[in-house]
Amino acid sequence: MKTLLSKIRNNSTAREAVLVGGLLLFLAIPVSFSYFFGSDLEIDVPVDTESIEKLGQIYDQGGIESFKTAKKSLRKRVSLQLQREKSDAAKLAATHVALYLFPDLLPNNQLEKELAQNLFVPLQQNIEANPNTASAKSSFEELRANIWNFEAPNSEAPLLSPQANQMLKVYGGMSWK
Amino acid sequence: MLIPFLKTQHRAHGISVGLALLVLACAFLIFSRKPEPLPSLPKPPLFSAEFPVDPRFSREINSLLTSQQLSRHNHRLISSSVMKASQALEMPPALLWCLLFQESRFNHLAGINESPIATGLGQFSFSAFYEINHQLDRYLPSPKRTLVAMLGEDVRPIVADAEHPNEKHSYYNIPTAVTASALYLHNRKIQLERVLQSRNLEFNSELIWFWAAISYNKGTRTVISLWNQIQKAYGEAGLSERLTEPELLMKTIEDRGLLFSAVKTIWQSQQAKAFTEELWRHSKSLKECSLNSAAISIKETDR
Repeated sequence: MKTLLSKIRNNSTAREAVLVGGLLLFLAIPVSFSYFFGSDLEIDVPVDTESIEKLGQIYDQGGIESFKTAKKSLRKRVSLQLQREKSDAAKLAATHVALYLFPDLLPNNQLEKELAQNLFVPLQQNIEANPNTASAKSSFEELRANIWNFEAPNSEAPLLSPQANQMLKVYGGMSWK
Repeated sequence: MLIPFLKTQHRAHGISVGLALLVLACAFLIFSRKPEPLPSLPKPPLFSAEFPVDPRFSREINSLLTSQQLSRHNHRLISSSVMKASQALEMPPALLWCLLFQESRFNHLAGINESPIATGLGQFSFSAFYEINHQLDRYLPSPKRTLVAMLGEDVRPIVADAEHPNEKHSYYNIPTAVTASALYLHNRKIQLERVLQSRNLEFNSELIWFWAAISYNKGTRTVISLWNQIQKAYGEAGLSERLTEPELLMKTIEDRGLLFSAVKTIWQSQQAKAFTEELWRHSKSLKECSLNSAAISIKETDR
């Protein structure tokens, strides 16, 4: 071993080769880590009010299949945030996203769970299965009415919560092109 | 001579002792018996048969009539339509009357020329029209039969037809507006009851009418968020109590802190404050206009 090290020290080509090899190894570690554990790393990205909007952007850029993959990944993140997160604000953000996209993930003591599953999920599934068709359009109209009847906080200055608005924009984009 | 006398004296003594014992035994029997429980007074209905309850609402109606903002004919038509719709849907007429008054001050043409999001007697939005025109079968076994019973025919699709306000399909037609609004209120009640039934929570159906009226104005999500908060604060049993006992319902809707904690789970702080205030005022008005004061104050006077 000592002789090998002294040979490398004395040989400039060998020194360079070791240096380049070391640098390559240094680069290979993070690259392979993100290749093998990329999806797990993504899971740790916190869910917030913009997560639904990002789904819409993914649909615009990559179409329905990219959207479905991204939605699956968001589902994992929402699920983890609901289970692990200790901060009330982070938990609430995940609850809002879950209510409008993954109501089955809501804890059983949340009284809106079953209602949301009935009011939103079947219509969203139909839009995802038949984007940009008359059937999707009809499901979207029903979804929009269900959301407004569910929220409708003020008849004088009507508005929806940001998450409801974002969800409608995403599914509207899938239905009206 | 003396012996019979003594015998008589002894006999008399014995009789008086016996009588005294009998009286004592009777007294014991009488006083030891548990008193019969007094027949409990029937609980008064939550919603008043006479409405509006608070005279300030009658004064306001009189003022609208005097200033001719509301015609006597329309006032009578609204009242008779309210009675008819309430009967068909088994809902408290006081609640429907008060809700419509609160929504539009009985102006059946409210917003007719402005194309606002909410319009007419019951401040209907596009989503309420959608539900009445397309989703009634979720809440009624036979929507067609119910509409025929209420209006003489199935007038759907009901729309805010400003050009033909008196046509039967127009929401600006008073009987149609009352019927559609009553149906929407009825649907809110069914929806809320299903939420509770799915969790096997005990509730008093009469009280759910009141929650349905809050849901009509503030959305089902607001009511359910409030129930979630009650559950968080008092547990499942506490929630059931508040869905069963009228006086606890009153305490809930008067608790601004609780209302705010529910509303802020949906809205940003500033909006949450404004919506809490609206929610509080809306519930208070409904209570003062439609609820039987005897029904909501029994336990408070007992305590």
